[in-house]
Amino acid sequence: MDDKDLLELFREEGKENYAFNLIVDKYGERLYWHIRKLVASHEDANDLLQETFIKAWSALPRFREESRLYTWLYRIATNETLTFIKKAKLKAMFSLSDHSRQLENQLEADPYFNGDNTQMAFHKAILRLPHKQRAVFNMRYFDEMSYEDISEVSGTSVGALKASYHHAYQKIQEYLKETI
Amino acid sequence: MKKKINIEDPHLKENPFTVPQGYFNEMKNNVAERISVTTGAQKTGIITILRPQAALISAFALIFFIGYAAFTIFTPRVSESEITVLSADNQFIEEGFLKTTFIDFFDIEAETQTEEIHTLPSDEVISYISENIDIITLTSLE
Repeated sequence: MDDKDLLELFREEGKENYAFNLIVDKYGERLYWHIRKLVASHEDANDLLQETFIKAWSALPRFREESRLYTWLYRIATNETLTFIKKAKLKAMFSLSDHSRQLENQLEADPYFNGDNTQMAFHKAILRLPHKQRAVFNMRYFDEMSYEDISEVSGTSVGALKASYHHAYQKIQEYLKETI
Repeated sequence: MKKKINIEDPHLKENPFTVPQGYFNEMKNNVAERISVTTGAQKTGIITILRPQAALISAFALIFFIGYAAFTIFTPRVSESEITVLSADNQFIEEGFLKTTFIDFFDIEAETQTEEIHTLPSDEVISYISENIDIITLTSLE
């Protein structure tokens, strides 16, 4: 079922829950991986994904289809995750610790990370990026989204996104050159 | 020798993260459960939300009325004529107070007048008394 049909079904009296469950079924996994690569921890990703869907559920009746359903969901998930990261950074600052370092330690100790050393270094490099840049890099690199779609999600111009991705790419490459 | 890594290597695009077994089904159930709870809450709506506040307001109102009733019942009533007398007395006291305070303590003119009276020459006083008071009155003063 495509997004248009899902939204029509959602607007039918008494079919909201069923339609929304179909949306969760269609986009849940994709959004989970998007969040997971930003926060590294499975527990945090799970909480954030559920919050994303709860917010989407309460906002969907007001969704005017000015953007596509999938970019709209991505937008909610990204905003929710970036707010979470900002709070975590602030918390780390007050406890005089480095948030990026915390994330790296979390990744090293994560029982749900099965990558090899190269992948570990690569994901550590991604976790070192500023959080907005990390989101842009992940959407482009892993999700292979077009700059136009990323622009719809982030509300940033295509030009700025291209520059951001390029900077992120350079930083990751430098980090990998130094560590491996 | 350092190994050169190309970011475009497809191996790096692979997902190294995993999830606990059956996680996605569990997540869907959790979301569905949370949504049905939210729907239930939305249906009961404003009444459910405002119920505790309404109860608190009613409790305060009840306490206030009980207190007010007790005060009105147990306070002795004062008749209208008593009230008029009281208010007249109050007015008298108030006027007296105003006079004593403002005239006695702050009226500088009155103070200077008194001083002038005290400084009258004694022979003038004697002549005034002899002209205006008869002998009988004078003897009664002795």
